[in-house]
Amino acid sequence: MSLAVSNQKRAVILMVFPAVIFLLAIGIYPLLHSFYLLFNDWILTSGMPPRFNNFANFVQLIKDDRFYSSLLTTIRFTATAVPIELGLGLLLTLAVAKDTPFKKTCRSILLIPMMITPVVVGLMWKYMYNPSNGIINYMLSKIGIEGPIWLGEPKPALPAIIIMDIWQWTPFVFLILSAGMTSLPKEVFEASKVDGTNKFQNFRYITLPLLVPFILVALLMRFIDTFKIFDTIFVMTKGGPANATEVLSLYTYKVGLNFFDMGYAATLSYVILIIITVCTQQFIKLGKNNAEF
Amino acid sequence: MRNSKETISEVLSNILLILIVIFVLFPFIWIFLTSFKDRFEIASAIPRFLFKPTFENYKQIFLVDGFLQFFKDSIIIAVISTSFAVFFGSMAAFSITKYRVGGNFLSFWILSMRMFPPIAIIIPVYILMIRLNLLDTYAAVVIMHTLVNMPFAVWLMNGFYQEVPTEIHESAMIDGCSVFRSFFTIIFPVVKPGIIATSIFCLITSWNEFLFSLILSGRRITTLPVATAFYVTDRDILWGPMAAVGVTAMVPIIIFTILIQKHLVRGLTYGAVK
Amino acid sequence: MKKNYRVRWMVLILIMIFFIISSVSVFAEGQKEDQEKQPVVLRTLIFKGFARGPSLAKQAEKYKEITGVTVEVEEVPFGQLHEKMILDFTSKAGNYDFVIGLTDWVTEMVRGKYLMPLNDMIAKDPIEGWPNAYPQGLLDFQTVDGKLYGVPCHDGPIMFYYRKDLLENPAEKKKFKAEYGYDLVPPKTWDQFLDVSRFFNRPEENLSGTVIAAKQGGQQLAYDFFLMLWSFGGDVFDKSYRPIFNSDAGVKGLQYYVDLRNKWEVTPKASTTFDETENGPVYLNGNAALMWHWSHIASWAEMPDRSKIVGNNAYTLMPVANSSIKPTTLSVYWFFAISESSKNKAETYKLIKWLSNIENDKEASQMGTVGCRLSTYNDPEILKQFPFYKNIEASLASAVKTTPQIPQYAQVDDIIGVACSKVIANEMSAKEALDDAAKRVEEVMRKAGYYD
Repeated sequence: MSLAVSNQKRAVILMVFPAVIFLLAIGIYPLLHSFYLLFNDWILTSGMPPRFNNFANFVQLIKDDRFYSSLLTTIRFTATAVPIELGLGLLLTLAVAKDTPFKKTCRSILLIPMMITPVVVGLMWKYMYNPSNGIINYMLSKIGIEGPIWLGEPKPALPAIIIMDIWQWTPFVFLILSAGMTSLPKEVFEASKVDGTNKFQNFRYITLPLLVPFILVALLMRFIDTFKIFDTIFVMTKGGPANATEVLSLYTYKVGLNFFDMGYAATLSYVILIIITVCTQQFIKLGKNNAEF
Repeated sequence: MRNSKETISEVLSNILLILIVIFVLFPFIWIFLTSFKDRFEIASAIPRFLFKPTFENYKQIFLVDGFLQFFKDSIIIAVISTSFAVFFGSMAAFSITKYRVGGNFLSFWILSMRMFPPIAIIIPVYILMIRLNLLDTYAAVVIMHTLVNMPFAVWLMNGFYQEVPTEIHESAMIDGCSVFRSFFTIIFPVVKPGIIATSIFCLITSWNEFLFSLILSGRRITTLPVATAFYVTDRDILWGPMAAVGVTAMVPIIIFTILIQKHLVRGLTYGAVK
Repeated sequence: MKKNYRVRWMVLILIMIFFIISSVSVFAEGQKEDQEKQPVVLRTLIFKGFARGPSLAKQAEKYKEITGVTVEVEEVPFGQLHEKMILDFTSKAGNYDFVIGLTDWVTEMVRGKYLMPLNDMIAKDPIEGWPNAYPQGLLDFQTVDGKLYGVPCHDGPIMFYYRKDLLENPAEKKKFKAEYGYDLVPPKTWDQFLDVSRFFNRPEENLSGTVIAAKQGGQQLAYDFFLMLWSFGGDVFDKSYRPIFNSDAGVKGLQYYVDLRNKWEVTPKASTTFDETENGPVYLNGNAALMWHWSHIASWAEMPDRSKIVGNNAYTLMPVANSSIKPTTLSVYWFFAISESSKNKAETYKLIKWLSNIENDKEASQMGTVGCRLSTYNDPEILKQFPFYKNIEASLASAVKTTPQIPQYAQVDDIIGVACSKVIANEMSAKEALDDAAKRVEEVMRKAGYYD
C-alpha cells in the first residue's frame, strides 16, 4: 500500500515537472536580469555597461509625475473595463444557457471580437472613431447627436478605448463562463428542481457558487491583461491626446524602447508586477471565501 | 405567477442578447465592408454601406504581399505552442488541484509568469535566443508563446478539475489504475469542455501575439500580426488590405471553433459517477 | 530509494525538453546552412513601405548578377524598425551589414558606436562624383565630429502645397480681393496663410482651409512645432544646448498652430488624431486647400490611384511670420550606413557605393524615392517627370534645418509633443506648456552631462 502511495506521489510530481521546468528555464534569466537592472543605470544605446546606482531609480520613480498620471489612467481603465466585462459576460452566459439553435448561433457570433488581431481591432476602431468621416459619429449624427471628438480630445479618449476593450474581451469572459456552465454537474440542478426552488434562487445559491472558480479565472486573467494592456492603445493613440490614454505599459515601453533607459524601465515593470501580484492575491482570497468545495 | 416571472426574464434576456449581438457584429461588419472598399471610398467624407466593391485588397494581400506564407507561420507556431501549453499545463493543473502539489505557492508562481510586462523582458529574451542560436526560428516564438499560454492553461484547467468529483479518480485508483492511466482515460474525457476552451484561448492568444513574434522573427518567419502592421508605413495607412487581413485571419480560427463547438456542449459522461 | 527515482525522472524530463527544443531548432537551422554556402551575403533591415525599397530590391538583383554578392532584405513594420535595429546592434548579433537610418537617430547610433565611419573608405574608393555628389547640407546631417557615417538615399524635405485650381481660379481671386483687400497668391506669411485658409474653409463642400497632423505620439507634432518655431524666428537650443524654444517666437508659433484648430477651425477637429500618414490623404482626396507635408505628396498628387487632385497640386516655400525671416524647411531623411558589427564591412561599402552612383540614384527616383544626388536633381528626365525637384533645390538653398542632433532627441520629441498636445487640449497655455517643457528638457540634458 505504501509503495502504491509513493508511486502515486512520484507520478503526481512528474505531472507538474515539465511545466515547472519549462517556466523556470525560460523565465529565470529574464527575471533575474530585470531584477539586476533595478539597481543600475543603463542607457542601452550609450555603448556603456550598466552602472550601479543604488536606489536612484526608485527615487526617480517617486518624483515622476508621469508615473503617477499613467498609474491613475491604468487604474481608471482597469476599474471600469474589467467589472463591466465580467458582468456582461455573466449575463450573456445566462442568456444563452439554453440550447436552441438561435442561442447556439449567438454563442458562436459572440466569440468573434476575440479572434481578430488586436492590431486590426485597434486600427479599425480608430477608423470608426474618426470624428470627421467615421461611421460612429455619422450614425450619431443621423439621430441628431453630435458625436464627440473621440480619440482627438482627452475627455472622450479613455472612454472610447474602454468601449473598444469591452467589445473585444467580453467574449473572453463569456467563453470561460460558458465552458464552466457546461461542466457543472447535472445532478445539482435536478435536485433543485425537485426541491421546488425558482430560477433566481437556483442561480444565486447553486449556480453562482459553483461558477466561482471560473469567475475567478476570468477576473484574474482580465485583470492581469487589462492592467498590462498595450497593443491596441499603442496603435490607436500612442498614449495621447495630452497623455489621456497613457497607461503604465505604454509609459514603460516609451522609457524602455524609445528612450532606452533600461534601468528605469525595469523599475516601472516591477511596479506593474507588484501591483498585479498584490491585487490578484486579494482576488484569490475572495474567491476562496466564496467558493464551494 | 412563477410562469409570468420566468417569461419576462426570458424576453428580457433575449432582448439583451440581441442588442449585444448587434454591438458585437457591427464593427466586424464594418471591417468586412471596408475590406472591399478602395482607397477613395475609405477616405470619403460620408461613410457608406452600399458602394461598388472591389477585390483589389484581397488580391493585394495574397498575390502581391504573399500572405499565405504568413498564415503558414502563424498556424505552425499557434498549434505547437498551444499543444505544449495545454498538454503540460493540464497535467500540472491536475496535480495542483487534486493533490495540492506545491500548495498555493506553486499555482501562484505559475500565474506570476503572465504578470510581467513583456517590454521588460524583451532584451534578455532576445539575448537568450541569440545564445541558444534560436533567433528567427519557429522554436523561439513557440517557446515564448508557450510561456505566455501555460499559466493560463493551468489556471483554467484548475477550475475544471475542481468540478470533477474526486470519487471518480479515487475509484479508478482503487481499481488498480496508475495515476497516469486514470488521468488520460478517465479524467481527460470528463474535462473535455475545459480542454477545448483552453485550446481555443491559447490558439487565439498565440495567433494574435505581436511583441515577441516581432522581435524574435526575421526573414524566415513572420506571423500574421506582424505582417498586418506592415500596412502602416511612414507615409500611409493601407486600411483596405489591413481590413482584408483582419477578415481572412479569422477564418482558420472560425473553422477550428466550429469544428469543436459541439464538444463544448454539456452532456458528457457524468454517468461515470453512477 | 525514493530520492533516486525522483532524480532519475527529473533528469529524464529535462533531457526530454532539451531534446524537443534542440530538435525543433535544428529543423530550422537546416535552412540557415544553405546560406552559408554562398560566398558573400549582405543583409539589411528596412521597413515595409520604404520608398527606396522597390528600387533596392531591383538593384540588389542586378548587383548579384554583376558581382555574385547576394543582398538579403528583411522587412519590419515601420513603427518597429528603430527598436529592432537597436536590439541587433546592442547584442552585437551582427545580423545586418548595411542599415538604413533616419537622421533623427544619427547621434544616438554614433554614440553607441553602432556605425562605421566612412571617411577612410571614401578616400580610398570614392563614391561616383565625390566630393560634389551630394548637397553639403545633406552630408552635414550625418557627420559627427568630422566623421561621415552615412550616405543619403531618400530625402524629401517639407514643402508647402496648395491647390492650383482653387488659388488661380479667377472667380475665387475676385472674391478674395473683395473680402481681404489684396491679391490671392500662395501665402508667403502666416497672416496670409490664415486669410487664405479661412477663405477656403467650406465645411458644406467638405473642404477645409488646411489639414495638420497634430497627433500626440506621432512624429509630426514635434516637427510641426519646430517649423513654427523657426518660421517665427526662434530656435530649439542655444550654443550651449540650453533650451530656448520657450521664447516669444516659440510661444507665438505654438499659439498660432493651436489656433488653426481651436480658434479658427480651418483644420478638421480630427487633426489631433492624424499622424503624417493621415493628413496627406485628406489633401490628396481634395478636402483641403493648403497643406505642408513631405515631398512625396508632390509625386503622389499626380497618381490617379491615390489622388483626386491630379494636375491641381502646386508647391512653394514655407510661409514665415514676417519677411525678415528666411523661409525655412525641415529635412529629415534616410541614409545608408555600415553596421559596426558587420562581418563584411568592405563588401558592404562596395554595395553602398554602387547603390549611390548616378545611375542607381536616378533609377531609384524614377521608382518612387526622392533621390539625393545633385546629378539627380539636375537630370532633365527626372525634372520632366518630377518638376518638384526644383522646389527641393530652392528649399535647400533658402534655409533647411533638421531636428536637434543629440542622442536624447527621442526624449526632446516626447516632451515637446506632450506640451503641444496639452495646449491643443486647452489644458495649459502655450507659455506654461513651453516653460514646463523647457524645464524638463533642461533636466534631461543636465542628466546627460551637457552642462558640465
